[in-house]
Amino acid sequence: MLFPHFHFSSKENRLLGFVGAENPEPQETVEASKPDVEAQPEAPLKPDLVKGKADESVNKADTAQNKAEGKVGKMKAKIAKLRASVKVDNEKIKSLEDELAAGEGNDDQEDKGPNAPGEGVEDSQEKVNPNTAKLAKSLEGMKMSKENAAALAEGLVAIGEFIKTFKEAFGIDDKKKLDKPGAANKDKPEEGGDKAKDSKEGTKSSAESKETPISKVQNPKEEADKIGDVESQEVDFEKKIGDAGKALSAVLTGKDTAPEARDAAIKKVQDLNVQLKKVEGKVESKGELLKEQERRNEFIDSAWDKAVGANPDIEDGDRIASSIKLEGGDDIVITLNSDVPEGVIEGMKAAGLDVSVSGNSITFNNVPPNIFDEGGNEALDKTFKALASGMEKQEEEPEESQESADESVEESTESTEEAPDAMSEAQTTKIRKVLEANRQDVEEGYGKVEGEGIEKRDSARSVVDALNAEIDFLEANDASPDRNIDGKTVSLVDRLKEKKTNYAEKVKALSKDLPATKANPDDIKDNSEQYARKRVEEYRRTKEEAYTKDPSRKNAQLVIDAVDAELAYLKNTEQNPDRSGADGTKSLQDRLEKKKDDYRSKLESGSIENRNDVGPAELV
Amino acid sequence: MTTPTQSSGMPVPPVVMSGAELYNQIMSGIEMDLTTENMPTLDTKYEGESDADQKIRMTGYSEAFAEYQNQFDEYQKKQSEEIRSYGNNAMSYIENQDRATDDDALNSLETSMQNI
Repeated sequence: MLFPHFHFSSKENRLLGFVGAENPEPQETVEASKPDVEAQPEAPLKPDLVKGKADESVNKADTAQNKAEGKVGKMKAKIAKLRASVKVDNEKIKSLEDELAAGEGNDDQEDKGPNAPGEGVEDSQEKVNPNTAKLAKSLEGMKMSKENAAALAEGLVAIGEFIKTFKEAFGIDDKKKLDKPGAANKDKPEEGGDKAKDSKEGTKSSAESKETPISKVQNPKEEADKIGDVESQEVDFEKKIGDAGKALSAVLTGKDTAPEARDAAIKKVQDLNVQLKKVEGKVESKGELLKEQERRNEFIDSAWDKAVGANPDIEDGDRIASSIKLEGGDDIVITLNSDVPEGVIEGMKAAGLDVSVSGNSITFNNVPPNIFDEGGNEALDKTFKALASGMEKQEEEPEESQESADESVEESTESTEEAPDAMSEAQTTKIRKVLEANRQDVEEGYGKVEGEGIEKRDSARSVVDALNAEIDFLEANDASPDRNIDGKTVSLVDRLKEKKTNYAEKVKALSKDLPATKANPDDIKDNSEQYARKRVEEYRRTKEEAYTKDPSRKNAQLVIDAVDAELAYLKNTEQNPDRSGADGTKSLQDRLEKKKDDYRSKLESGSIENRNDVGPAELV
Repeated sequence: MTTPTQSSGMPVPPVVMSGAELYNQIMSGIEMDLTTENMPTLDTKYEGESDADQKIRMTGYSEAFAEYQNQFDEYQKKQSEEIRSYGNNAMSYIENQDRATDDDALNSLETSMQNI
């Protein structure tokens, strides 16, 4: 049985640095301003910077190649899984063939045996199935050959068993069996229909019910196709069984004694047998589908628990989300009780989640099959951390995230008129989230690297790198929130420092007998501000990319906000690399100021034609 | 994009070089001085160089790094495409193999049943 495969490219492309190529806006890079390179002749390097430049290039290549290696590893794992799945299928088929071959063997043995016809049939069939033997015995009185009697008996019993299996598998006789996987509410199983169609209706109605916050909507089209397919086969089967039954009845009751009629009846049974085996495969497929649905539903249950439990300060009835449901087979839609808090979606995207927002709904796009395995909980943890954090922020600053886009624009204008030397709380939180999401990504990457070679060592160093940047930022801005760990209140910085010590020890242990390919962990500290700057820059570029794809006012505002945060961080850390360019800009800050002006004039001059694209969520 | 295959027809996964290997492979085609192997020897090699010559050399290095960046980007794109292509081809290969096996098995089953 084969399974669909999915491709993830946006995050990987971003990490590999391809995204900027799609963006027509000029992009500043930390390592070198590529647009500047194209705009004017190369300035000579300073001699003492040559080695640093080369090291930086090697490190960048290292990071990119590690990611490429990871992608190949993922592909290999996916292929191995597919191979294993195919192997299991083939083994099932082989087993079926063996069974069949064994059945044929019995018949052959009977042919050679000295027994009387009736006895031979009975002995043989008793070994296989008592019901078959009984039926064969009832056929003894008929003028049939031993082979034909055995074939008829076997065929009839097989059909009976098949119908039983068929109905059990699809819940034709048992409402609950049919409804369970597709049921919208586990608390109300009795509401399910007794046919597949009823089940689908039940799912739909409960998805709409406010009393049942968790609705598990399966892919309606796929479900209809599969169930319809099986249902049509059932009808077809019943007709064939009816035809075969009539033909057999005529033969068995002696109404039709012609050899041709008898042969035709046998042929009908044999045909049914062939079809039976084919449909059996579909029964298995359906079984797999049901298992998958159950797995997904369990996942949704878990998601809901996490949503409710994500923030202990939120009381019962004041939940984060009003529903979580599967849509289109591959998407998970979470509908919040309020508008999506500002910054949450960016945090989630920065955490590598493929999400989109519409009004108060967050959609996880193209949920991969393996999200229901080990990766699922991790992704959910990130999501609900972001949600909980957003809710906290929303509670602290209710007006900020509830304002209309126009008001938000005005506020932003006012705020940016003030000199952004000191970072605002919102900007600090934004950068903290960007660095946290980045560190979680890097940690996740470390966990996925197998073995204890250079790749593992460098990956551990990358975690130290990310931790240094985060710790330095939190300390410099006095922005370390407390975390509740096993009932104890621990400062985030302290926890990160402990984590850093652990990773530094791992680097040390892994470095034995390995050549050095990156700077020592202690050296990285000096570069942590530059590291953080890169992350903040990447964040701003994702906003620009979003604007390029969708030049809405909202996205323009998000770019301005991101530029503000980046500028504030640069000023706060006294970083201002040279970015002299053909457009008259001299430095990165200079260029960012210009960029901000550009986006503001786009926003205010009406050059964005689709002003109406600001949806109700932004206007209310 | 074609993907190399084994004698069995199964696509071979692309080889991913280390960062240093990749850097040296690209840079050795642009400016040998800037390979990791030659970099430590530059001070000796250009000892006593005049300021003017050094400025020219540094301009050349600057251009070399810019060219490296271009080639590196191209390489990454190509490699990404190769990896994607490998995955798709390997999946297709297994699917086709499985489909052929399924057909054989079903034919064999049908034949067996007809002979019951």
